Amino acid sequence: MLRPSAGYVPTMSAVSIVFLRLSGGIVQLSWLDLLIIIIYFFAVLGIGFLLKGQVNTSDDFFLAGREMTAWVAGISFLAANMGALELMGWAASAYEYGILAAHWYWIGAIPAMVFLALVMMPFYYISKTHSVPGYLKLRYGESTRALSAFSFVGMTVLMSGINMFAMAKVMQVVLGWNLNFSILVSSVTVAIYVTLGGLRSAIVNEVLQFFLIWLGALCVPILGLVEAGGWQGLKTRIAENIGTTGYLHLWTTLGSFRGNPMGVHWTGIVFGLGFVGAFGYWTTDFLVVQRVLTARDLRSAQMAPVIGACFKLAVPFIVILPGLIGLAVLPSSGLRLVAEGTASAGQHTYNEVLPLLLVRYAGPGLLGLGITALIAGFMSGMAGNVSAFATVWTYDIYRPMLNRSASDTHYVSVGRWSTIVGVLISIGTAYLAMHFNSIMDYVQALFSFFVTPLFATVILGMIWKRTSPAGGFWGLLAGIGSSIGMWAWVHSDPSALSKIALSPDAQPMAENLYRMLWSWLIGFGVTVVVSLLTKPLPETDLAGLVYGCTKIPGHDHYPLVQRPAFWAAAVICVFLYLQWLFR
Amino acid sequence: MNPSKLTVSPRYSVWFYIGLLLFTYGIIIFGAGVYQIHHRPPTILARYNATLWGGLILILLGGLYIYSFWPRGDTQNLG
Repeated sequence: MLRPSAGYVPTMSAVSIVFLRLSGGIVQLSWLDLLIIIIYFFAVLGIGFLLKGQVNTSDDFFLAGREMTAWVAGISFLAANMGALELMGWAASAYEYGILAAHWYWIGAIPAMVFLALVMMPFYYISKTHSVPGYLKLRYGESTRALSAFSFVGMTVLMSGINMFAMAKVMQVVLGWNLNFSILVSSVTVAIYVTLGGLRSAIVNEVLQFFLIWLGALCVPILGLVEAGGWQGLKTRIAENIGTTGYLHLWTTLGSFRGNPMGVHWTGIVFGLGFVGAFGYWTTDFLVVQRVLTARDLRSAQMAPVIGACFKLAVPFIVILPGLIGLAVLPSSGLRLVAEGTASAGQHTYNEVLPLLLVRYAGPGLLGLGITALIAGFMSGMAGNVSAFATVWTYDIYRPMLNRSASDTHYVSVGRWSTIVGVLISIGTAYLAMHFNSIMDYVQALFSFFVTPLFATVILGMIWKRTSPAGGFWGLLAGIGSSIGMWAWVHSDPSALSKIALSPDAQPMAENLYRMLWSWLIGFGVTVVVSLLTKPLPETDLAGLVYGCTKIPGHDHYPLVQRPAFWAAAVICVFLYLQWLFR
Repeated sequence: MNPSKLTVSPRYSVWFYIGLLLFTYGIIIFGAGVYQIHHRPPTILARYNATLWGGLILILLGGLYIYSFWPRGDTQNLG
């Protein structure tokens, strides 16, 4: 299964895009489609060159001058996540698991985004931190920052490389393009526009890419629904093709591990995914949080995640629905997709569901836009990783550990060079992934090791004055250690899965959800216990960092419709309605 | 706040630039759609002329953004 981008997402059938069957290209592009793709590359490079002159200070380069509107920051916040493998990966998941895949967009995102906006954003913003590790430095000290920063930069460049390789592989499978050509063109393009314009360039391009992703992917759900006979027709066809209506229920099949195609229980979805996994990713992963930090004021910074959540609610329309459409209409054309590694000659895999539907519905021109949407998605994710890497490397590793007193111009220069180095390492990782299939699974697992425990450390630091520097450090270390320990336990003894997921019927999907939950609880518990046994920081040092020690500006002077809380409530209402509608 | 910071270049807004690209795509795809009325592509539901309508939507959306964020020298439409 293609691995979607969100760091908290379980490995599903693994990241094994390497197992994608080489079919020599299932899409034939016309010169018109190629023209659209070429225009796209010129457009993103043009943005980089246009913005070069506006990047003068480190704040300009790393935080886009902190002058983005809520709309720009919000769209960028979502687009950075929509990047790598999102469209194809989750369309494939929907084909394999049905509408359950939408949990990763709704309960696995919306509550966490709203929580970031209303609860955590004030502290990130008021503390004027440049990064999440930067917040940890202010709250807990250098050791916690170093642990977080090193793990983040390592994971980020590895993820960037994996995504780069995945994109090249997809281009090879879908279009028949040469692997080296795809890696070279995409990495050079991203390197140029991020190096020239820094985060500002990455963000503007992400907004552009967001539009292209939507417009390019839109023809599939619309025409798919027309062909299937609307939503009712779609449901009927899926029931006929699969023999069950279980693929169209979000909740009613989650009462037991055996009752649904994912092999998960509702407790895993609610607590493992919806709580610790989603909150860990959306509130502490600097890749996405960095976009919100660029907002021009606190209200914009709080509105940005809410705007992102509004769009996130709708993303299943272009990602999950195509997977369901594939289930409904492809069998009528004699196409039954199969899992990776099981495809024989002439068969297609789950991962190819979206390209197959694009070819089915989109003629020359529209097809080019659809392929451009895929490329845009990959590149926005890659640029997000690289720009976040450059910021954390420069602010949280280079400056505090290697060169504390250089000029601002020097740090901008370091940021530019680290962008290039980040891309080069990513290319190296991409080729590494090509030769060592399992590296992808390991990197995905490593990523999840660090994100969830970090949420325990950050949230306790924000809401509990008593949390001590020692508590933060040892809690984070214990969370990471326990997560790695559980992963190693299951990999050395697969029967351990039943113990971690608390059921002999649990499928691999459940492992990550419960591992995240336990590691968060362990990190949380250790932080509390160590904090109670050690000396906390004086309250005077906690101003701007912790509830009870920080004066948070209200938005009472704004009209109701301009307040983040109003729109957050509206988003939550729509979210709850969707859960009920597709229950 | 320096409003120029929110722009792609000192005069042009992010949204203007996006509108320009969408409009360009719209023209190309709409043109392809017109051609495909008489030369139908081998796609399902080709009779609905999705390329034509898709191009039209892009032209309208791009045109709307170009119009709304056309550089007028004020600070209100810089995105």
